[in-house]
Parts: sequence; structure tokens; C-alpha cells
Amino acid sequence: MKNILASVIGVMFFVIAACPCNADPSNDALSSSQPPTTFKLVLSAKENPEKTTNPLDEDYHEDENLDEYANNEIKEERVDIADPLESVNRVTHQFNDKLYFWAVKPVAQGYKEVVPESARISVKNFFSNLGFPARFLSCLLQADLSGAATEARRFTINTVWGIGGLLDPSSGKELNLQEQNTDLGQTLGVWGIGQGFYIVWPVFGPSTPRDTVSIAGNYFLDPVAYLNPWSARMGVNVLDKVNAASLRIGDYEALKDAAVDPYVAFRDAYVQYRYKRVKARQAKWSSSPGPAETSVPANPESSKRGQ
Amino acid sequence: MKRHCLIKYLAIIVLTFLFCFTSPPAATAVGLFGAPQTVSRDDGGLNTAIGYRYYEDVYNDAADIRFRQNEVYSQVAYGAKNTWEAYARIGVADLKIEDVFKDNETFFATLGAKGFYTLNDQFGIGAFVQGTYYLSDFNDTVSRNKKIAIDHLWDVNCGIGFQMTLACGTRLYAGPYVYYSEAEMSLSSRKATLGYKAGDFSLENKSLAGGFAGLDIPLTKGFRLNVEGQYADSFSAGAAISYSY
Amino acid sequence: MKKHFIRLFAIFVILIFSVPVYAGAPLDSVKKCVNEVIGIVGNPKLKGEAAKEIKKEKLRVLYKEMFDEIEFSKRTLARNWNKFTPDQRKEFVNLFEQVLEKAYGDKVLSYTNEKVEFYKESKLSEDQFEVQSKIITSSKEVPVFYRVINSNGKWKVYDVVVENVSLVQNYRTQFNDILAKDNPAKLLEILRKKVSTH
Repeated sequence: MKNILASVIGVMFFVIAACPCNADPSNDALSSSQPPTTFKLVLSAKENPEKTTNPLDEDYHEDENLDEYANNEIKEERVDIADPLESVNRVTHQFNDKLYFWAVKPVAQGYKEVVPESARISVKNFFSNLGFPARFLSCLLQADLSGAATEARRFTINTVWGIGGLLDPSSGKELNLQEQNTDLGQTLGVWGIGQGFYIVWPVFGPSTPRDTVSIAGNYFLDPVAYLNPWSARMGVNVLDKVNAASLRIGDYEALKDAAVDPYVAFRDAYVQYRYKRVKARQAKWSSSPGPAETSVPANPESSKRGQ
Repeated sequence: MKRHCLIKYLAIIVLTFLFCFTSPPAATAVGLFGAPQTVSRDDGGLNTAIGYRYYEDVYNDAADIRFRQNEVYSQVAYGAKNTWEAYARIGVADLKIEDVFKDNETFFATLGAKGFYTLNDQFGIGAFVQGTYYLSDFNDTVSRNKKIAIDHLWDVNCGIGFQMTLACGTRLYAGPYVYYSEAEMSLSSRKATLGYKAGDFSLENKSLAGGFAGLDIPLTKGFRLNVEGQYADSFSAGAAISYSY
Repeated sequence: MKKHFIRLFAIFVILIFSVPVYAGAPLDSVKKCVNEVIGIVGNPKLKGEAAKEIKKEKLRVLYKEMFDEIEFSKRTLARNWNKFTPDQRKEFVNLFEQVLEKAYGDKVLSYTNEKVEFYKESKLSEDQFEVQSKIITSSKEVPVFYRVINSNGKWKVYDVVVENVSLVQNYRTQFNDILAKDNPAKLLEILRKKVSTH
């Protein structure tokens, strides 16, 4: 009898003390004195007087105790880029900003009014389909044979059965052949070439020396570049850009409004995005040759690749 | 899982093709008629296809002339509720007449519609109508100033099909059809082998009716293979691969 | 026999309650919050301009519940947080929330039934998880990851990563740039100005 009682009390003790689910969910963290808890016994944590301070009073510490494999994930947040041309870049950024609000956006909005969304998506699919050579070559250069095969299949199916690329049946759930989001700049990154420094090109926007190769290379791999009367080329390119802009109205403004310093915000967003893309492609490079269609979070091996 | 269906019907497909190529020329109509029932999904959907057909034709005004064509086309169709479908095709075809005339790819356009009525789980009956128009003319210079031109080639077909659904979603169909086809032929000079003197002639198809039969087999992931043969004065046959959205 | 059984039962109960049950909790927690947001935004009874304020108020409450404001704000300043006095820190957290509200409030309110799919949760450390989701619009799929930290037993968001771009990192770079040249008071002034001009 006594033993049973002892065990029951023991159980209740543990239930109350150790179960975090029972801890008070404090809504107003600003004024409470609840310290952030971990999964040790709450008793010992509460005994430590320093821990009962207001979180506002706590100083900032780098994240400790991160698991080995997550190290890269957190570390990569501190990606920075050299910006020696900052003063020039800021001016170009202003120019691009004005170009967007005074030229691109009004035209895109007018276009959006007139053309229904499904048609605009078809046009976007059509131009995406034309981007096949650049993506295919990039996959090959990154030794991503499954990606290259996927791109080839996409191109065939979308062109033959997707009315010349206007429809995109490959991306559907049944066929599940996703577009390989890669370009020549990422290829150079996968090979180990660093970002370099930040450049803002007029019209083309944020870039780096490495990614500028992307812009140049894509020009040669773009079927539209081989259209003959230059006015036709111009016209098609304008249609492509206006159509793409019409599907993304609001994105640029959102980031700009949310930013305290728009120039830095865009620079950082660009750098983070490219860094993560290259990391994802490097993970593909070093993972076993299996069809990993969706991007894979950093493998332990990829950290050895560096950059 | 679907592959065994294909193999199962392979024998039939092979035989169909063999029949077609050993027979004298006949019927018109561009492309396959397709199964009476649409391959689009129930709640309304698009389907696209590419197809190839070889056919032979007998036209007639003063004398019989045999046409031979290879066609390749791309089709877009919309259908719903297993009941109806409307389709449009654009393609290229060449033309050979006997040993005398040969011309290369010319564009054509086809429009068609079909309706289907389900009798029970396995059987159904449908009707279709289809018309084709060649967008430009066929020309050939036979020998030193002897020219033959075939202009304004067009046709219209309509027919009825009976359909039976077999294992694995394969559809077997057959039925009769009637058609009318017309072309204008201009000969710059007499062509004895054809049996025509110089001048303009209006050619019409020799036979008015024929029969067709085919198989529509599901492949993987939304793709289907359609194999069909048509017979009026002689056999024509073709195949198409469609994708249902 | 009975004694033995009860002892086993007690051990079993202890084990259940002392081992933290991770499986799915962060993902479920974030999913629940996001669904609540969608519920508020899409509420058919709250349509029109007048209802906008009501919605915003509800969203503010939800924001405090879903996000660990202090962690969020602290991480955007990183080491610079240590340069701020407690009062400045308090004001910063408030201003930062307002900046976010002004920037993203309307965007959230304009949600119209896009599909949100939660598909993965990965462990970053003992207390930190990353919950992966995507928003499926008619023309594209936008990956949105939520990084959550265990705060008093609740999973709270301390960073949002949209299309591979971390919000915390983005603001950190901006604030760093400003604080490299100016003092904390100046940053607070810039934020005050930004919040008032909208």
C-alpha cells in the first residue's frame, strides 16, 4: 500500500515538474518574469537568480548549442557581400526604381487590365519553355544529369502536348517534372567561384560579376535572340518582361515598403537568395545521383564544398 | 501496370498496320477520327495530341486518280462529361499522285466535333463530324513546262461509332462513315498516264462511304495511344498520342 | 503481482511525461496560428473597409501570440542589441512591430483563398525548428519557412524565410548599416519617422 502511494506521488511530482506542456503560457512576455525554459527540470532553472530577468534586459548572444548539421543553416544567414561601388550602385538603384514606377509598372498594369490572368500565365509558360537551353546546359555543367533529363522531358512534353509551350502539363502533380531553377551564374557558384561584389545594372537590376555571366550567357542561349528583324526581337522581349511584371506587381513595392533602407534591403535579399540557390545546387552535386526534384536542405557533405 | 495492356493489344495494332499498307488507296479525311468518347476528364478538360496518318485516296472526274498522303498534325481539344468534344488540328501533309506528281509539305487545318452516349459500363455509341481544308495548293512541275496543280483540297466526314471498353480502360471502336472530298486539278498539258487532257478538272472522291475501326489505349500518367484504320476504297491508318489535362 | 503492475504503470507514466514530445508540435503550432490568421482574414462577417480595423486588431493579438517579438527584434539587431538601453529596447520592439504591420498588414488582408500547405519540419537545435510551408497561387508557388523557438513551452516564430530570404537577416543588414554610422537613438528616430509617414 505504502509503495503504491509513493509511486503515485512520484508520478505526480514528475508530471507537474517536468512536463513543459503544463507550464503557463505567458502571453505578455514584456512584463512577466517567466524565463525561457529548456527541457531540464524547471526547478533547477528557477533556482538560478540570473535567469529570472526580463527578456528585454537580456543581452544578445550568438546561438549556442546548435546541432552539428544545423550549423550551416544558421551560419549562412550572416552572408555578406562587398559593396565597393555602393555610391554608384545607389544611384543606379534609384534609376531602376524610377524606371519601375514610371515606365514598367503603368504598362504592366494596363496590360494586366486588358489581358486575363490565364492568358498571361500561358505567355509566361511560353517564355519559360524557351529558357530550356540555358537551364539544360546549366544542369549539365553542374553534373546534374537527372535535372538535365527532367528539363529535356519538360521541353518535349510542354512543346508537343502543351500547345507549343503555352501550357505546362509537366508541372502538374501527375507528371511532376519541375522546372530546374538554375542558371549559369549558379553553375559558376557550384564550381566554387565566389559572389564577388555587388553591382546594380541599369534595367537588369541587382547582380554580381559571377551572375552577370548568367545574364550574358542567357542572351546567347535564348532562342529569341536569333529572331531576325531587330524590331521583332525587341517586341518579343518587351512582351516577355511586361508579362512577367504583370504577374508580380506588388512584390517589389512590398519589399520596398517593408524596408528601412530599400537599397540595403534589396542587396541583402538578392545576396541571400543567390547564396541559398547555390547551396541547394551544391547539395544536389554532392548527393547521390538520385532524382531529388525539390531542393534539399544542406547536407553535412556540402559544407566541405565551402562557399 | 499499364504496360501489359499495351502488349496485350500489340497483336491487334500490328495486324491493323499490316492491313493498311497492303491495300489499294482509298478514303479521305485528315487524321484519325478517334474514339467516339472524349479522352478529356469528366468535369471538362483540355486534351492535346500529336498524330500521324498515312492515307490513300481515289479521286475521280474523267478517270480514277490515286492520291497518297503522309500527314502529321497537332491537335487541341476540349471535352466534358464523357459526352462531347470539340477539336481543332493544324498539320502538314505531302501529296503523291500515282508516279507522276509529288509535292511536299502543305499546311492544313481541321475542325471537328463528336458526341457520345453511354449505353452501359462497357458500351456506348457516338457520332462525329469533321472537316479539313488545305491552306495552300500543291504544285508540281512534271517535265519542262508540264505543270500539275491541285488546289482547294477540302473534305468533310461524318460517321457513327460503336465503342466497347475493354480491360485497363482500353477502348475498341468501329463504325461506318460518309464523306465528301473535292479538289481542283489543273493540268498544263495532257497527261496520258493519268488519263487526262490539259485543262481544269474538278475531282471528287470516288466512294461516298467507308468504315473505320481503332483502339484507344491508356499509357502512363495521362497519355493515351490511339491507333486507327479507315477503309473506303482501300485502307488508311494512323496513330496518335494524346495527353489529357 | 498487482504491485509489480502498478510500478510498471508508474514508470510508463513517468516516461510519457518526462520525454518531450516533439513530433509535429512545432508544425502543428504554426499551422494552427496560420489557419487562425486565414480565418480572421477570410471571415465573411467582416467584410468592407470598416471591418478592416477590427481585423487588424485581431491580427495584432494573434501576432503577439504567434511571434516571439523580443527574440524576433533582438535578432534583427544582433550584437547591436547590447548597445540599447532597456527603454530603447522596449521602444524598438514596439516600433519594429509597427513597421511590420504597416508593411505587411495590407498584404495579409488581401489574402484570397490561396492554398497554404505545410509539408515539413526540420530540427535546427534543441529548441529551434524550421517549419516549411508553401503558398500556392495561380501563377506560382512561394515557399515560406517559419523558424520557431521554444518559449515557455510554446513554439513561437522568431524568423520568417520567404523564398530563401530571411526576414531577420534582411533587417539585420539594414540596421547594421545604419548603426555602423549612427547611434541607437538615431535608428529609433528613423523607425518612428517611417511608421508615421504611412
